[in-house]
Amino acid sequence: MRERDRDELWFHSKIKGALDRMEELHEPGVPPEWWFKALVEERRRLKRTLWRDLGLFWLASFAVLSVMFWLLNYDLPLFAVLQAAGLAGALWFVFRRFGKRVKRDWPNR
Amino acid sequence: MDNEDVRIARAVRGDADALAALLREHYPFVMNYLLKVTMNRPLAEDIAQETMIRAIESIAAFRRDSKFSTWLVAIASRLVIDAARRRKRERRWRQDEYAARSLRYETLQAQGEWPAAMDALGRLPPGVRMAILLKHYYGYGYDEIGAMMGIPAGTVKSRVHNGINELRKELGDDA
Repeated sequence: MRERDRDELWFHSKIKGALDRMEELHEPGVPPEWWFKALVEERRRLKRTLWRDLGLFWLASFAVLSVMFWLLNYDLPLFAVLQAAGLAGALWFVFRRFGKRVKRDWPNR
Repeated sequence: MDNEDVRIARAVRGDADALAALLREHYPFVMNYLLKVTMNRPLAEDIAQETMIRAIESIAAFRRDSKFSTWLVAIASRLVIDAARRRKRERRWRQDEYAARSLRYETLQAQGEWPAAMDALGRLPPGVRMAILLKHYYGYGYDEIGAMMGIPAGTVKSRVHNGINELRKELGDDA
């Protein structure tokens, strides 16, 4: 008899019975049908939302980039003003967001 | 086509009711497998739920070249491997030990004994225990198990063989 078959026979005679008994003893509680339906519906809704948000993001990006490219070609001063405003807005946001956190942390130490 | 094939075809085409019914039907099988592999009921329940979620997300990719239950076991096996890595990193061995003890206690309460075979199986590393169970309890081939666990078939063979030898030693049956 091949070693592999011997292993299988040994497993069946020594281990399988104990596993079968464990399976009988610990019968899993199966959630009700509505739980599975709700889970399927919820995941599908999340997937739809994700695709919708991704689509909106791409549309918004396309619109912003189109306007910026148009300005770059036809109205360079306005393009520069918008770029500067964008940079100032980003810096303002970063300082407001992270600058405050450092300030808030000090009184606790 | 039998009833399950029809339901699988409907589920793959996007029928939510057919998919929910299929998952409910296979839930006990997945849960029983996970309980044997993890020997940890709360972890098995979490992974069973995660398996259902992954199955819902990727049902459209199910090619029907294997049984639906095999596909679910493959998803569950990958999740067990990921969870084992995560738990090792987070050093949650105390929780695992507690869960194993609780399973042992429940079994002792119900049948009055905890077989030495279960102790020996519980002491094997999860990857070895999984390979042995898939091969000798569920009867999958080495190639199938390799695909499920993301390792070469040769590695599965050696894990199964070494694991069985380890079990023999633990149970005092070296012959």
